[in-house]
Amino acid sequence: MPLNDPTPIAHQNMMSYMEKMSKETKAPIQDKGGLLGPKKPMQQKNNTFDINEPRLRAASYIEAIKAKREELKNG
Amino acid sequence: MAEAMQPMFDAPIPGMSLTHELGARPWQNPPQYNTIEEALDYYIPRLQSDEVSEQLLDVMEMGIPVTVIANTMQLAGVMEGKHTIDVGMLLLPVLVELIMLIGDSAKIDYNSGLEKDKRVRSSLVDNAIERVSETPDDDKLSEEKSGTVIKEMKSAAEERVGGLMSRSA
Repeated sequence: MPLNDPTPIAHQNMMSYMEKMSKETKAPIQDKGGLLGPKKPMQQKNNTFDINEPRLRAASYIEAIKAKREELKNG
Repeated sequence: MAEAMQPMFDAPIPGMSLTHELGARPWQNPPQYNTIEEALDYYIPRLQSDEVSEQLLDVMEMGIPVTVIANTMQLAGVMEGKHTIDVGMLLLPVLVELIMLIGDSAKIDYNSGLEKDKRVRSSLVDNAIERVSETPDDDKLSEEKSGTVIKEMKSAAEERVGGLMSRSA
């Protein structure tokens, strides 16, 4: 079956990405090691907002629009 | 039905895209808007304008899915050379949410196109009914077959007089 409309898949992918991102940001930071141990493992992913990643920027716009929609729905 | 069976002669023929010089088409040139922000700056004022929003609401009330509208918009943007298809793909979910926001603010019922199709196709139902109706017949056949096999086995056992080690007649 040919793929005529990629929109639902793109939307679903973006939603799952946003969900994943929110889970990662909510996860508590585990303090590993002793007093002299590094706060962050060297190979840990940088969870800070990367302005250069377009998907992240798109996700932030979607979040803003969704919040607006929720406001409208809740009055 | 007859129309569907006819070949579509109005479709582009293979190689038709190569009949123009490279760069003659808008999408073969550098895009006007390179980033999502620039492309959104192009789309948002258009969507918010009275003329476009009225047409948009009409189309949504007609039952056209929001996903189809968003895809058509971004595809038109690509064809006009406004942005690349990559930016278009990133824009798609944002456009969907924007259009749904417009629909919500106008308080109209619309089809988002994101819900999974829960309707059961009639062909599937027919197929299932056919299978169910076939199954008992197969069982009957297998029962009949097994019945005859058992009878044959019983008759063979009755014919045998002695034990296993007895001399055959």
